[in-house]
Amino acid sequence: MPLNPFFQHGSPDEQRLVQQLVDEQIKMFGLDCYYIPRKQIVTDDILGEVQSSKFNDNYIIEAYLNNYEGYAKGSDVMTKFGINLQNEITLTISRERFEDFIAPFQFNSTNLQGALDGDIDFGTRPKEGDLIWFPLGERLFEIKHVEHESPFFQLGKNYTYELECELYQLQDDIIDTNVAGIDERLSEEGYITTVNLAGIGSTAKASVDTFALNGALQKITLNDDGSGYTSAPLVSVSPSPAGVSTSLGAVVAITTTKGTLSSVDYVAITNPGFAYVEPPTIGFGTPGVGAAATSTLTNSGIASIRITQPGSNYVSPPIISIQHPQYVDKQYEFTGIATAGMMEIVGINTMANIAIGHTINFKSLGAVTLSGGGIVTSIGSSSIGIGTSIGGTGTVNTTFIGTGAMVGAKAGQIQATAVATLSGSSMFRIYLTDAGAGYEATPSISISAPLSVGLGTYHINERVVGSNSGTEAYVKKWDAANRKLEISINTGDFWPGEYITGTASSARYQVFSWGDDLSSQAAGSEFFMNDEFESAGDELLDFTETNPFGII
Amino acid sequence: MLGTYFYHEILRKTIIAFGTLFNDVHIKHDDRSGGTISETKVPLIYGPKQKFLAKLEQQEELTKATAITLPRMSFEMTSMNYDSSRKASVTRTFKAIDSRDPSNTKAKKVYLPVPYNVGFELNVMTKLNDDALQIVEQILPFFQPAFNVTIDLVESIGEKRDIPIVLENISFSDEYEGDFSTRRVLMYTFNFNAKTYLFGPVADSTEGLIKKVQVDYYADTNVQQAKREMRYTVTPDPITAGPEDDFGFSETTTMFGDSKKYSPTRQEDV
Repeated sequence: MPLNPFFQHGSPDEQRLVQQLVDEQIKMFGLDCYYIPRKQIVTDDILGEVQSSKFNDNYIIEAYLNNYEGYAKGSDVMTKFGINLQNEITLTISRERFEDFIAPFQFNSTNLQGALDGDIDFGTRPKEGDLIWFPLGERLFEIKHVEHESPFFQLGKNYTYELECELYQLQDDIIDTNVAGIDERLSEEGYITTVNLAGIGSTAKASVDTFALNGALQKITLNDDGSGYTSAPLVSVSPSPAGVSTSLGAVVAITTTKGTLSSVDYVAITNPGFAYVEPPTIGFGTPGVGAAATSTLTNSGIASIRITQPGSNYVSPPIISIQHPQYVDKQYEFTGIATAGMMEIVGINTMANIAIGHTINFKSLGAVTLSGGGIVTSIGSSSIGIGTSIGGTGTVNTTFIGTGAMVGAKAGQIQATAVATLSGSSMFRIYLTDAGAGYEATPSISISAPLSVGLGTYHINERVVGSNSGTEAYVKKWDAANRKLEISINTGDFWPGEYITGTASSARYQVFSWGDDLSSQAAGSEFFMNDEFESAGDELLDFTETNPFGII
Repeated sequence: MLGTYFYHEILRKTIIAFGTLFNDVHIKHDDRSGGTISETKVPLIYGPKQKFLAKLEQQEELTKATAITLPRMSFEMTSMNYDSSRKASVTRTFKAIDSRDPSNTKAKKVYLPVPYNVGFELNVMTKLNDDALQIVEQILPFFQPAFNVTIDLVESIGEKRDIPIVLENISFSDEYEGDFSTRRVLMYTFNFNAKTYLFGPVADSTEGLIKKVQVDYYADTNVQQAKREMRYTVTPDPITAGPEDDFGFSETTTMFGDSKKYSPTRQEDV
């Protein structure tokens, strides 16, 4: 039976009136919430899941809170995984307001790297999976159901959407709304890693203490690196004929590991000893077997190096460079007789190491005035002739003292080499790997500089990139005073020493240390115990093999 | 009667050893071009906690902006059962050197341990099924069906035992059905058995470490009348070696014609 044509179930004008009344009610008794639409970045079509999402838009909309009496009791639940909050709210928003002011803007988005066109779902209604920022308590809710027919067709039309929401479960979704209050509040949520960035450091300094001991160890040559050296073995050196404790050479073995194999990498000298006539024999202790080495002696090498300033801010041992003997200035002192046109010097006993080609610079002694210098052109049995091409003036037939500088390499000169170890971020020790030979004067030592402080201010939610690792992450928080960068959603590990550059801010700092992403110092560490198990396990587990779950 | 105090923390150590196995599991999310969007180390926690402590630590601010962050793993000890298949004699003891004694000479005595199977339940909760599958695949291949860990069960005697951790079964729930008022919950549950040993009190032994063995040979079985004619002695080489050291043996054989016998009480030939 047809409807009575004399009664109309809602004319467009009546429907319009009701909609306006609803809107007005919500504006009077509602709350301003932020509607944050989801952008689907990666979906798994087989398992039917959105694997990665981005939330970087926000729309303010008024909403009426249906459960004005608060959250349901028992919303905070203790679970196996820690405390889980299950707060729920139901909001009513105006259908017309949403369609007029939010839906038209949901047509464009910025895709993440690698996302393809068509990843984004469009719609003219609120969608399940979108987020609501609820200002009371500053909480982020996810829409789990949109009820579009309540109240049910008043005057033939529906005027509201009822959004059933629950607290959002965070994972690695990018939430960058550009609303400071929201972004700052969420900067404390999720799995966060703290990267310590380099501050102002100081370069370590060292100097050669003693050199040129007769019969001292120059170098230990490893003939067999052995196997099974899971820790550094004790290395013995046969005693020196001098028979005193300082004459006994001392060396230390440095081990290396590749996979499950451990062997001796090299043997460094901690005390070269002296008065050895024959190269001493080298013996290796446990835990490994098979290592063998021979030694070489020198009479003119480096004997000891003193650290004068340990420096700071080193993330890896600095590179030690010891001057080559050919570049080391030797200060000669000699007596001589200056003759016209030619400086002839006698008293060769004080100039035993001088050679043709060396430069001699004169210096005054007492009342004798001397300046300039010359190059040694010949060496006689009792005198050395010095050319006057550089010049040199003085009192003829006067005894004087001069100084000389050695120029050019001589046969048998070997550059000394050394390695450093760190204690914390400062230099701890310097080991000689080759004491060198042919040193006639104290060489200088140069040490590589530590990390330097960077520039700029990182922005919240900007993407940062590691210069060497290529690792990317999003900034959660930047503590400029302490140079601590909190990041999240990282694609891997950052390496100490590399630069982290902000893609938006261009801030650039060097990584000083990178904590494990679930270290006990990390934000939110009350929710996990990974590090605690690792350190407690180290004390009681005999992991001759490493933890298999961390190794590929 | 049973009042001797001792606590080797064996069960606690077993919990730690179990937790250590799963504390470095990662999951990755890739974009469609093969690049990595994120790599996450999966947090692990020992489930049982004092409720007030959990509340104070995890919900200090009361109004947390989001719900729980996923994925997560949690485990707990669920059972302890005597394992009769590993039963050993109840009266047998064994001796060991006190590992904390620097002189390496003090011996300790302890009864053979009681074998127990300690049940563990490992739970994995994820937001995505793919995350759970990544975690599961990283765990299963290592259990065939057991994975051995070597635990220093009793530190005072340096007693290290291989404890097999056996994967008994796996179950999972994926609550995706129902109305839209409930959230999907994805949870995988692994049940393990750790075959551990419980040691009793460790006592000081009056007997020291054996460092010399001496055997006398006789030419006749009537040892009342016969005299020893040859002596075989073995000592460790070097004599100062401890049980954990790498050492050899010195063997000595001596012939006698002096018609004497060894007196164990006087510890000399008479």
